[in-house]
Amino acid sequence: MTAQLDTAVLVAVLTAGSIYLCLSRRFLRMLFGFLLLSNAANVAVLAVSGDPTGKATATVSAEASQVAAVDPLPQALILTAIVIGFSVAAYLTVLLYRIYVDTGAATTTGLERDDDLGDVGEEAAG
Amino acid sequence: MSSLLGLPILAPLATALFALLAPRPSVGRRVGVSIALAGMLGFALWLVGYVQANGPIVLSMGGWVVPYGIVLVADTLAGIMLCLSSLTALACVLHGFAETPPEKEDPLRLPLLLLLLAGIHLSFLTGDLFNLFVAFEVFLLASYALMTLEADRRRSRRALPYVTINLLGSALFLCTCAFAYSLFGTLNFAEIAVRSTAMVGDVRLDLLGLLLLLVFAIKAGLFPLYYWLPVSYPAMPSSIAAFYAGMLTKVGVYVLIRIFGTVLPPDLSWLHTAIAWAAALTMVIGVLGAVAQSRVQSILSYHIVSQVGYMALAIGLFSRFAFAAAIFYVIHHIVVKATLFLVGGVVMRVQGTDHLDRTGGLWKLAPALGLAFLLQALSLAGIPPLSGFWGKYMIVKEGLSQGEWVLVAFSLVASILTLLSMLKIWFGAFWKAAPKDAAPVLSRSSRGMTAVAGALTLISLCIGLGAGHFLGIAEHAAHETLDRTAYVRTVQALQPDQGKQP
Repeated sequence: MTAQLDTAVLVAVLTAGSIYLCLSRRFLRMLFGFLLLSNAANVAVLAVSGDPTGKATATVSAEASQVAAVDPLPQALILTAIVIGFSVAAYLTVLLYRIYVDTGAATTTGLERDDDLGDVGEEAAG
Repeated sequence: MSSLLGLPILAPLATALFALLAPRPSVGRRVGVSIALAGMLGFALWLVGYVQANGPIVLSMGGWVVPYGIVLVADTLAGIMLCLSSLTALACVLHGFAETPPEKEDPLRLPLLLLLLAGIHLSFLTGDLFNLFVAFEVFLLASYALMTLEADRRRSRRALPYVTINLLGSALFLCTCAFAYSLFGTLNFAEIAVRSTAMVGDVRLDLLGLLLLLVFAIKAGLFPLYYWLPVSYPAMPSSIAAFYAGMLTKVGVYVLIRIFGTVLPPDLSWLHTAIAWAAALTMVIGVLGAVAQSRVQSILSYHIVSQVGYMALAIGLFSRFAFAAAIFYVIHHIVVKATLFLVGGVVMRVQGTDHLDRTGGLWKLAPALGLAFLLQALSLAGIPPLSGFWGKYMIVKEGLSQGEWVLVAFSLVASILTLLSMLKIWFGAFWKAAPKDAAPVLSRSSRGMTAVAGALTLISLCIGLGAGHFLGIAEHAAHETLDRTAYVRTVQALQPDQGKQP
């Protein structure tokens, strides 16, 4: 595998940007931060596929394995990771919206307040 | 034979589908789910016996030969974990049935719990790093949803730390998988075991070990990555919280045992030392957090953190005896912790709160509940001859024999503080007189919930009194886990012409 400085820089920039956004207090920025983060991870996996000029890989026929090709397995992994990332992003969107509805604020300010969990009465519990 | 290995994963999925097809919570649905869970427990018990007698079972998915396909491997350790998760799930589901009448149960609670169980079972059985990532995501997604399913307005925000730290952990795990693949050209545990042995001394292997430790420390709640746990767990309904408390961090502990015992070579001793010290800090800081709390479920949540420290310390000591201690401790801890959360649920049920300033008089009202709590609390603190004592005794003995005086001192201090904070619950909820303005009554549903907690207490007593038997199983599991050549041989045995090749 040849050195892939461009990919490394891309992953670094994406990760740095996503961490910056994740640390924000605003929900929308946090959401974008986590979306970017999963994409940064996906690009990192893609980089493992290697350069087409790199190693010969497992392919169907013996002749085909002589042809320079990228490793297909990491791409299969990303496909899985994208699906998972999509579902998690959907959940996170709903959760943040739910917290916005429940607390009336779309920022984390005040969320860390150590609130009384409240008492679940006999009637409230069922 | 080996195709039966799909059962622990497919059975919860099928049951979840069944529960979704009968969307209205009803008695029939409850009976069906209970029977399915009891069946899974029975299968897991049988599996432990079979695997102990005949060696590990391997199933290669889709018939692909080993370096290409995904394998499921059931050894004794995986079997033990399957037993524990099925048992905890059954107990928590029954507790939930006693807690809520069918018409008030959330229709999605059971299906989500079963999906969570399927993901957990896959993570116990899988023999592939990326498949482990998928298993984690399956159970994490189910656990996110279950955590917020019944949360009211004050509680929904409490899921946020749990979700965000696990999102970070997932991204890190995905990158770690990619890194492992680029190092070894495979994600199969057995193949990684072979190829990593040849790489001992390479700094990239150390880095991989560190990344894996970081990922699983988030799952297990090791210091300094534990803060999400005591925030989110007390906000859940007690029967769900008991399942999370029993199983979820222990999945992290299981994977630590698997990865550092079987997959990575035993030469990464600096990482083992790091685990041991993180564990010692986890124990003490967790228990100090517990001492500062004044709600039953919050105290118990901090104790999960503290107790994970003991298991991680045993892993960090890294010897066959220490691994046996860790596995025995996992067996003991899951049962005890789930019971304590279920007892906490009854306290909340009877008194309408679990704040220790507003509870009291339960010993007079419900001596059976008090007895269950007392036995399990003393077991958690490590009083002989209860199950917790044997686990702690083995860890301390191994620590002393390795000359790790400071680590042992940490664990003993944590143990005394555990007793202290358990006594706090005992005096606050059980021993002191009932608050004047409240008249706690023991309803029929509280009795049912107590019965479930009592049954778990009995199992826990059996583990303590029959410690020899369980230690034998734990030692066998530890031996199998640390015997990497045997693991590799077992997985590669089905290689040549039995399966498809690309």
